[in-house]
Amino acid sequence: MLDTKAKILVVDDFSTLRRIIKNILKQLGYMNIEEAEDGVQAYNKLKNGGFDFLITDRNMPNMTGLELLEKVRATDVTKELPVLMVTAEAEKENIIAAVQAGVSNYIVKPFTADVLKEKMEKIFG
Amino acid sequence: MDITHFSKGGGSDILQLASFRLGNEEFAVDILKIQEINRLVEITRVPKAPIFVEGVINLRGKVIPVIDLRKKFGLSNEARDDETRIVVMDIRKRIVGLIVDSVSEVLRAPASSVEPPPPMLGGVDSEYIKGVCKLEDRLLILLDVNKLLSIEEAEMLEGPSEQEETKSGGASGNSDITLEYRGMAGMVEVKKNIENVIDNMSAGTNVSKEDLDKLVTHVKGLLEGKFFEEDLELYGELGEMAKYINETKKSLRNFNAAEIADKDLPEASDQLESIVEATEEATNNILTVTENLLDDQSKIKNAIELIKSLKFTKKSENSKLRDQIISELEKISEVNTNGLMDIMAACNFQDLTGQRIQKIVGLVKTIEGKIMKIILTFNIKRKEKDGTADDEILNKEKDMLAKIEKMELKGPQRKGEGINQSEVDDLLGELFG
Repeated sequence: MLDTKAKILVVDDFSTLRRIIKNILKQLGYMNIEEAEDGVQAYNKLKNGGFDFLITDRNMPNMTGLELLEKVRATDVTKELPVLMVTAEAEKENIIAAVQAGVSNYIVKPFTADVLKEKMEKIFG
Repeated sequence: MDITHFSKGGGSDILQLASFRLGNEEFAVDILKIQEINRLVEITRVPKAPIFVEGVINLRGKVIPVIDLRKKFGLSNEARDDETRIVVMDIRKRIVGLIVDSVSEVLRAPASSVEPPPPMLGGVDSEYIKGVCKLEDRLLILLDVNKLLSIEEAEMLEGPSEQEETKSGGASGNSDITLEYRGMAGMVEVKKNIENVIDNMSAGTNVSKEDLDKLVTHVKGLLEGKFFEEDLELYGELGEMAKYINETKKSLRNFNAAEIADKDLPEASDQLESIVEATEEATNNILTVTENLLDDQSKIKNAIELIKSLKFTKKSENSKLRDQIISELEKISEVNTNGLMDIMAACNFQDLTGQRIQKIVGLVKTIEGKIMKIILTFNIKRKEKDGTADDEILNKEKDMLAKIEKMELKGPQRKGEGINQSEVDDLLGELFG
């Protein structure tokens, strides 16, 4: 499982959702958490490296989660970064597209703390 | 009383008549004036038609105006039924249909059975009546059909006359076919022309130059602002739609919890978007309380650890008591923590409903934009054509139209962007009162 000292980036255009995810991670022991409102802000933070985990929504203005994922995979610094997509979109094509773009795992909203923990265990072992 | 212009057949003193009913009375007309008798077909109402004209019907491709005889004679309005017929007649060289309650029969009557009419008969003005025909069992009122239309009224019914029916192409020249838009039969004919041309073109048959010229003239007329009643009706409908959307959005303001009522929401230029903001605020409040309680849970966990470290002599009462307390607290703490996490997860709703609302907002804004665009275009064109423009308002309208067109190019907007709601309100108020 991911070390509790890990630096995590949470990306979603709804602030309440970022807050919820942050709290769940806190309960799991993770304290080093940063936030972004959309793909552009997120990429600006990620490209300098230093992050261990990215949790992102899919539907966002300016740059979608999928586009962010593609950019992350195309950038040397971040191409191995574990990415968890948390989104309201449950359509098969969308999930397949994300997988093809290199997502590590996919959660459909609404979700519980248990589900998030479970998916993280799947990613990090 | 002159009966000489009734048809006489089989001897100079036999009249050939067709009789029909209107209310309680039975009427008869000269049979040779009747072209045909039809069951009731769909009557197309025509705006700007003379009052006595009910509308027009399509008779094998010809457009025939139709007169409701009950209305003409001032009889009461009755529902039409299976028996109702349209008697197509030649009146002053115009082909006209007359709506009657039912057609009784075709008959021959001796000229000698006809007498002058009494002054007021069956509620029908004597000017329409030639005489009465006394048969064995009943009385027929002989109608003077030509009196049903005055000369002026006949002229208003521009449309196929008896002679024109046999005319094939016109002798019209190359240019300058001017179609007059007065006379509703003319208007309907134009519509038929357009439909024919379009049908012919799609069927690949040849279209006459005359038809095309007519079509072009009509379209030009529309572009130059010769608006028909139907266009104005549509314009009115659009206005109603725009007003309705507007009113609905305003009334959303009334759905407020006490907290939201006084809150200043400067960024929400739109009531719909303020819903998303309101739920965000409420959810954040819930999360704050929840976070504080979770913090308290941590403190409780620490307190439990402290209690665990209390040392008593084994097997004493206190020892047992301590273990009990620890067990209780641990249980409660676990339940509370889980409960709080559940509350937190449930707050997912704000994101999900918010996204849905944003989609609806996008839809409403698009529809609104398109309606405003049509209304503004119509208004600007009409004002420019009339030349009665109040420049200030006209410029306001042009500005808003330009704004809307720019927005359409940009695509869906985030909150705070887009048409200013109060500008729309002002404009709609001016246009539709």
